[in-house]
Amino acid sequence: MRVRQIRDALLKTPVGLLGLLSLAAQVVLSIWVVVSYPDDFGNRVWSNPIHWVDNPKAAPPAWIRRVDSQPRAEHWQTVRGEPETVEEKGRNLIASWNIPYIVEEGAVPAFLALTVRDVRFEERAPLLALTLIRPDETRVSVMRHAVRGPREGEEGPYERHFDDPLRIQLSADESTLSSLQEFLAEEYGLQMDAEEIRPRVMDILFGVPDATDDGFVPMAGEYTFLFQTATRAEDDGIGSVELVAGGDAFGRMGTDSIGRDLAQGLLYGLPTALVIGVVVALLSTSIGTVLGMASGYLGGTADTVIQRLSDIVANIPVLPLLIFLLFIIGPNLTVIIGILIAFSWPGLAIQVRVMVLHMRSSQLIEAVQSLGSSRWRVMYRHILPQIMPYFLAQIIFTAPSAILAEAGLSFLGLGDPSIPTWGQILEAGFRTGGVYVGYWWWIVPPGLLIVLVASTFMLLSLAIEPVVNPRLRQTRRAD
Amino acid sequence: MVAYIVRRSVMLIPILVLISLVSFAIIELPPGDWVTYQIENLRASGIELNEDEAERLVKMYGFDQPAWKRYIRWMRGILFKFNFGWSFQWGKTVNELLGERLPLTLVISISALIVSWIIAIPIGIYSATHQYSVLDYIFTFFGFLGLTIPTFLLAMVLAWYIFKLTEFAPLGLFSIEYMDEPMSMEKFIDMLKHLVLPLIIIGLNGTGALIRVMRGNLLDELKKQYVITARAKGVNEMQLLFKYPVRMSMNPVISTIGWILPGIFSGEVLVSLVLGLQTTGPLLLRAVLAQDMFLAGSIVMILSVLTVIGTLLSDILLAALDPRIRYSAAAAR
Repeated sequence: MRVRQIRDALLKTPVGLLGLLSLAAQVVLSIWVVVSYPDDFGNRVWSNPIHWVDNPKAAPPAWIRRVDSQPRAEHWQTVRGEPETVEEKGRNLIASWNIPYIVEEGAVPAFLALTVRDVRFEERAPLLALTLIRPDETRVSVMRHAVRGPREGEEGPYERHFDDPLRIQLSADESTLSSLQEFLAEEYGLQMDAEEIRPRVMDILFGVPDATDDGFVPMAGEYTFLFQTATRAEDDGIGSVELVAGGDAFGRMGTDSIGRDLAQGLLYGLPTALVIGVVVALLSTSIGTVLGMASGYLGGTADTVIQRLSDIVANIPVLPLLIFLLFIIGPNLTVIIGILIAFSWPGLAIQVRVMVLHMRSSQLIEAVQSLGSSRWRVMYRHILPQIMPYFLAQIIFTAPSAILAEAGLSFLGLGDPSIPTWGQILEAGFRTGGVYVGYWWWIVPPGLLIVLVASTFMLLSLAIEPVVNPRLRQTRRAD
Repeated sequence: MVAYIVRRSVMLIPILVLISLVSFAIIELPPGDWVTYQIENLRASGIELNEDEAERLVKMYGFDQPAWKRYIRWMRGILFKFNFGWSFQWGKTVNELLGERLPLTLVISISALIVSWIIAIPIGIYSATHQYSVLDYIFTFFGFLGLTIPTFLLAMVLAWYIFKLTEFAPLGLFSIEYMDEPMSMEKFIDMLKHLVLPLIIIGLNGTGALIRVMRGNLLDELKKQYVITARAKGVNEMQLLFKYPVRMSMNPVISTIGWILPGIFSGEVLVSLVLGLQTTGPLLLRAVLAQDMFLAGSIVMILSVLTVIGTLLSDILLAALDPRIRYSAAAAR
């Protein structure tokens, strides 16, 4: 039995084993991704710019700091809930949060943003304030903000920013500019107008003026953000406060130009790629085998029709047609898979037909026929088992080309936007000019992952090649 | 031989008719037509067309007639006046547009095919005659690697790398300084320099598969009795190899022309897009996106017809090189 030989070839050769192990690892990882990601990851998270608003744009991965010696601030983000201390001051209750933040040598963050959620108050709206305590003990009042008070006709207790968090981009906020102006005048006797300060907010916040010119030298060390709220009633307060210091480096895989965490998208692409590969390979191979068997064994009209059909399908330039159909039906992964299946069967149908033609005239089939077996029984019990090894080999061989085809379509901008794939990530990188600016972390990982998954299937097919005649696998016309 | 060619050509006619029908269906498929699309565009930009004007446009482009009449009108134009229709988007005839793009597409596709043969056939022969040698493994490895790397990725990475290394941007067909110059020797050399990268990338795309085919076929041939007989007779190993087994194993490779061409056209779309080449691929993509349907349908039809012709050529070449196919074709009649 040839099928057993295939199993041995996979389990007992190093190449086959390597392929199997790599495939198994990918399957395990895919299952984890499918289980742990939200169902509507594509629409709600990936394609939703608001979700990524706090991330730095086009930042390289964080580990790059260990490779090159350029100073880069790593992206930093923290969320705090309950206040650390609450003290009474006159009629007010002052709640404080102390959030430490370390600036490394020369690594000034790119921006600073504050997000406050779920504000609740009974009568008087709370006041919010953020102060930066710097390593040299100087204090900068970064922001003061009054939550919007009761509207006419509104009854307490009041709730603010439950659905729409209060987000203040501190590095571009007008009140930050004016408080920095005050700070510079008081602390260093420097007079600067708002327009001079605007482009340099971060340099001023995390640096000291240079004695020689009007530049600022970054000051490394331990900073503390002191966030305070002033409320009246016992139950007044905020749900959570979030601080983001945008870095020049982000996470394991960096971000793209709208701040999406590439690590998440890349992981999500794995199950998608595997599903595309396996489903397309399985179905198109099944169709090709069934039609090839019917064509070869039944002969006559069935043979002519199937052969002409596969001639036509094989001669259509697939990609232009795919572009069309996707444009008309709309970019949808099911449609993409369907089209790929519809166009990848003819080669196999022609091969299988030739094999079945040989078998039909064999003594075995002749004997079975003369014993009175029905045509279906002959095909199912006696021809199919002989074709099985080629069927299996073809599945493995078709999978990578399906994955590459989907990547190509996504690269043309015809991918399904609700399901991020590696091709789409590459397309975004190419469209925004990421290649020529040198955003390698945006181009290389998705490309390598495509190659990795495709070559896993290639390893498997390399391993079973000696078992299955290569000629029958790759020539489409064997006449 | 002549009879064989004539018979094969006649067999093509129903396929060609079918291709034209499919292409026309493509023109018809999208919801709405170019005129409604344009009217909507005008409306979006604040210009309101009155009913008469819209109707005049519909009449002018013949969208008020039933589909089969339009198909006949389109086909008649192509067959008798060699007129593929009008590109709404470019405001030019389709002939004019294709006249600019098709030659380059053909040059790239055919040269890429030749590149892949030049690389694949010698490697295939070497791999088969030195089976399981170190080089065979290396070629096998690279062949498989080639099958797993998307062409557009290769194009992007190589273009960037070449640019980084040599400051030469392999994008488009000409460098900026030659763009408006008349054709000269320098401009021609500049064009060749721009063509090297796309040719290699598109060519390598099919090479991996071709090496496997060549290697597998030659291995089959080398095991046959006549090779052993010839060896026993003391025929020079090189002479023996090239006189019979190589010739025999070339047959399937030649018949690959037919099915490699659509593959090259498909791969060419992506590579041209990345490298900014003005071929039919990007033209088609834009035509589809703008609902410029006569242009799009014409491109699909021409590419399909070229592919069919490619298959015919490969069959004729096969018959010319292998007398047995001529005989069996004659016998079948």
